[in-house]
Amino acid sequence: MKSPKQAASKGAAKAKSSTGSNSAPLNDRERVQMFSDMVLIREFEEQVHRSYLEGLVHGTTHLCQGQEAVSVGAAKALRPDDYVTYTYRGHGHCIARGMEMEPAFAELFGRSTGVCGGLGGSMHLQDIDRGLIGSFGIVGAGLPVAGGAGVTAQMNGRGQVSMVFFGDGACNIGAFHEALNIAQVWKLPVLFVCENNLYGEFTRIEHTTPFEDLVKRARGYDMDAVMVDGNDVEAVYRAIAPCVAKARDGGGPAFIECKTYRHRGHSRTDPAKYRPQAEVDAWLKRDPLDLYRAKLAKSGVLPEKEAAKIVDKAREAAGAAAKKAAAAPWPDGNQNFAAKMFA
Amino acid sequence: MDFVVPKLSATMETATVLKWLKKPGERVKLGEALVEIETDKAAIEVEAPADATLATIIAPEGTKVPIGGMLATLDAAGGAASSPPAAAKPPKSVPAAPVVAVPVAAAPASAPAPIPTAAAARGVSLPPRIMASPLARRLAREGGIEIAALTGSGPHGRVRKRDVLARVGGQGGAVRARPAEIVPPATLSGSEAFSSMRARIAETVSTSRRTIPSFTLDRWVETTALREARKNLSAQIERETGVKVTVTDLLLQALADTLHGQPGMLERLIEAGGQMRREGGGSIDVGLVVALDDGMMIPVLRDLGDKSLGEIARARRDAVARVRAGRLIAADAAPAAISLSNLGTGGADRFEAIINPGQSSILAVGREHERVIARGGWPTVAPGFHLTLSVDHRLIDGVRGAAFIGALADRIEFGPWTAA
Amino acid sequence: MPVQEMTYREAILAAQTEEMRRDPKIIIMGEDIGPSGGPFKTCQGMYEEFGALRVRDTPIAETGFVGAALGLALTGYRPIAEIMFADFLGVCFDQIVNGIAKHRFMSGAQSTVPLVIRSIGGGGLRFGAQHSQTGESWMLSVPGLKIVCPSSPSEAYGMLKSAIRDDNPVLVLEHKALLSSKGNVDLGMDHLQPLTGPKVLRPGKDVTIVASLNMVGKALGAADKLSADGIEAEVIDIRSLRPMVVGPIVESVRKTNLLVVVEEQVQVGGWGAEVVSQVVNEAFDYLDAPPARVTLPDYPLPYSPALEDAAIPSPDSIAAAVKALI
Repeated sequence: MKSPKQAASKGAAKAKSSTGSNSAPLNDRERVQMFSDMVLIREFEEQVHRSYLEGLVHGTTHLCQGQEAVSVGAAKALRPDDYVTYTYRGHGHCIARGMEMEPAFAELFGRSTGVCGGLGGSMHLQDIDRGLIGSFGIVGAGLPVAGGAGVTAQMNGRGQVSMVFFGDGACNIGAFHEALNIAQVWKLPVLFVCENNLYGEFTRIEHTTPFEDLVKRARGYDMDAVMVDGNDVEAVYRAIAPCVAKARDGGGPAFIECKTYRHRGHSRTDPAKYRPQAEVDAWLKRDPLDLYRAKLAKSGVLPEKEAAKIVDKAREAAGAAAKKAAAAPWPDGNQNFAAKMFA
Repeated sequence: MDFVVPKLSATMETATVLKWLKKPGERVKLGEALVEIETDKAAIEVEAPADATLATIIAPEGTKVPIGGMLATLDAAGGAASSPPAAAKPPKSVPAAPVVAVPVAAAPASAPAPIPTAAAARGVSLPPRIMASPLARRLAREGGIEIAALTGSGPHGRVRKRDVLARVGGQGGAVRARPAEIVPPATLSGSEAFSSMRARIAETVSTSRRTIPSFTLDRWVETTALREARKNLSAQIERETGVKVTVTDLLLQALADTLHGQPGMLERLIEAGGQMRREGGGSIDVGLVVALDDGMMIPVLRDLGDKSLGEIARARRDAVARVRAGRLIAADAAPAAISLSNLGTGGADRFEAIINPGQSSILAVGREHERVIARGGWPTVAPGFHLTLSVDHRLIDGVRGAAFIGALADRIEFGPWTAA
Repeated sequence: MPVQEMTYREAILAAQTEEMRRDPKIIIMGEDIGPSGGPFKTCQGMYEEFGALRVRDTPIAETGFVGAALGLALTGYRPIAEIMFADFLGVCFDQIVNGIAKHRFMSGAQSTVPLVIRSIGGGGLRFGAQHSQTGESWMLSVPGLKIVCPSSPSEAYGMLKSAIRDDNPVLVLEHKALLSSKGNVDLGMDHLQPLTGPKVLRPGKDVTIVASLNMVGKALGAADKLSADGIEAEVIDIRSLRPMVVGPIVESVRKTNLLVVVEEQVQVGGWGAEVVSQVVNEAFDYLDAPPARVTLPDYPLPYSPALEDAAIPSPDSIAAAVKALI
């Protein structure tokens, strides 16, 4: 009788081999696009920051400036029919997959035109049609769910993968371990992308974890694991794409640790004074946008002036989208909430 | 602090809580209406005795509570300590939960707590509460049975359905092991249960007839002067107060003036400790019979001696409006010695009104009509009506009664009719 | 198809098997449910029929595979997760109450979550405190979940089918003491039982007794005892805790004027309080005595048979509670 492993290999072997940008080298147009995507995320997050100060964003929000290369590099390796799961620091992953800014802002502002109708908020952006199946506010909770999407991908047999983003803090919680174990045992096409920004909320990694290189965790599950500079968008792509290709072919899950850093605090209300200034400065010098912009300018792919234009355009678009979102109405208090719960 | 049932009339023994006007947690101001209760006389709003927050409702709607019984606990600003109920005295203005000559609860000890058992915790014995299941209460209400008169077979003496049905079925309260076997009696087709107001009136008039030995004194009075006065004064009064003066207002003024000169008629009979005592009236308060669709109420108009005609008219109008709206206030149930029942627009020449228990007389006024009278030895025609005064013979003898009705007749026929 | 007498366990198996034949999107996961057929044999033969992709033995990782159930449900599948002991719902509590129950709502209804979690729980079999909860009260206050309690083979069959076909998360709380109980089941591919609404199992005019799961049988036993004393009890199976429908119970209390709720839960936090509260609200003037509840005592279920038996409501203790009211 087949074990899930054997069945999975057999099933996935029937899948078409990956095509397109998953295995091919990047061309200049794609490079410029990746830069634009990172800029878009940055400008979105900066606008969220400004809107928060204006009182438009409620509760709290978790910004990802500094981690754009991970979102964009990873997204580049995906197909539209792949599944993506992420965390409360998830705006970047959503924008990278094409979520539009205005409904995203509207969701953060709590308006009826938000992607979730104002019912979820910053921590729960979702767009099921883009494969953005869920954003999880409980640390680590998304990993088992991504595993389930991996089972679906395996059962469907058309080479889909399930990618899940999480931070270094999630590597210590039970859900993480159960998800990695099941994925490895069942050989699920799941890509576990760890954004190691050295801080689990306010606590630096050496206080909570016996080591800084989290690939060791994955290797404990006998899983393929790769470590990469998370601030180099092309390096991220080059590290993830082969893992994705292998998963599509039934080769099982992989763990990709992206070393990165968040520019701002854990959440909007956190001034992050717990980080040594020297460390912050060093990482700010390695801003992924600055690094790539310089690289593209140097290689002649994108002149500085054009890059500046891209930034301006994105900033303007973000501002306009936020303004429109701020004018949207509040959700109807008399709506049918039961229908929002139950289909 | 404890919020207890005030004694709003001499004959009142219990009250039924009709409607709580505030919810626990809500604030209430001194003098603000807090609960509506029904006494033997009327439905009355009881005001809060202080600025406070309603803490716990102890007597929910529908329960019957004796005088002095706990209605609720209030958190007065600054603490929940209870204070002893106010000493008995006739209330002057709108009373805050007045307690008049009532066997009060013993002075509380020092542990305040806004919970229903607070009194018990302080070692105070609460007035007995009627224990009955909601079902039993409803069946009793529907069947017109006094639940307080039933003995309960449930725990703590709780009255249960079987106890109510046993009474209704005439089985004298025998307890059955299988309550389902007792069925409610079939009602006669076409008959209807008494409304609570009708039932209250029935009880009141029956009590009056049963307990007050009364006799009547009759006098026909000419109303020529009264009509003149009304014509002359009404425009001015209406201008000053916005109220149209009625015959009733003029009668009340006449009564007030006459009572002023005959203060013996302001006495009331009180039974205390099995003894009869007479209590003199301080102010001139007169009850006014106000007709309703299927009944009547008798709000008391107070301090008529100090009121101008316009003020009397306004007081009369407001009281009638309150009665019609079903929103009597505590002042309406103040004690009084005499009431006025004016059927001047009705079809009866004369009638004998029934004294309101707790009062000592009542004046009935019949139909205004013309008759042939003798004046100066010659026959002539004049308008007038019958005054029929019923008095409690225990207090008022023939001489006093006759003197009063004579003085009243003179006052009506000869005035002085003024706006003052 | 004919009505067949079968056990509760067989009814569960029949329902699962039929549904999985009908819809290839249904898969089942759980511990030891594969070749072993499940520790309670509720999946016997399914691995052989449907294969390893659709009948998945999981590691001992409730968070892992209940979370996976959510992922499957979000991406077009209809998973069933079997939780070996209802007590283990505590292990995957976060995935259920924060994840599964809230996902659709937080997404603004973008997602549908058609999944079933079946747990086997309940006391009376000397499994001790950590293996004897029914799980009824643990998720009672979580909107977004449906919770059903099949008390007989017929309900186990029909409600499980309905749960599988429902496009929402349904928690099916089965009782291990009922697994071998027998009853008639009206078999048939589309023979469903509704997921909401109590049922009157035994009419009576003197008292209303409401119960769930294994307590239904105890209540019926109590009714027999009471009948001998001339007291006719109306026994109602609550069947569904979320959404809770009390209409038929209110109707019953209007007739009998007395209410007793029997739960295999401790008193505080037990679902019976909700029933009592709603009945008092809607049938206040029909109550001839305060509603009574018969529940577990307020300590974990002891192992020793004498103590366990004394703690769980029995026909005798239920009948005594009724007599105290009459």
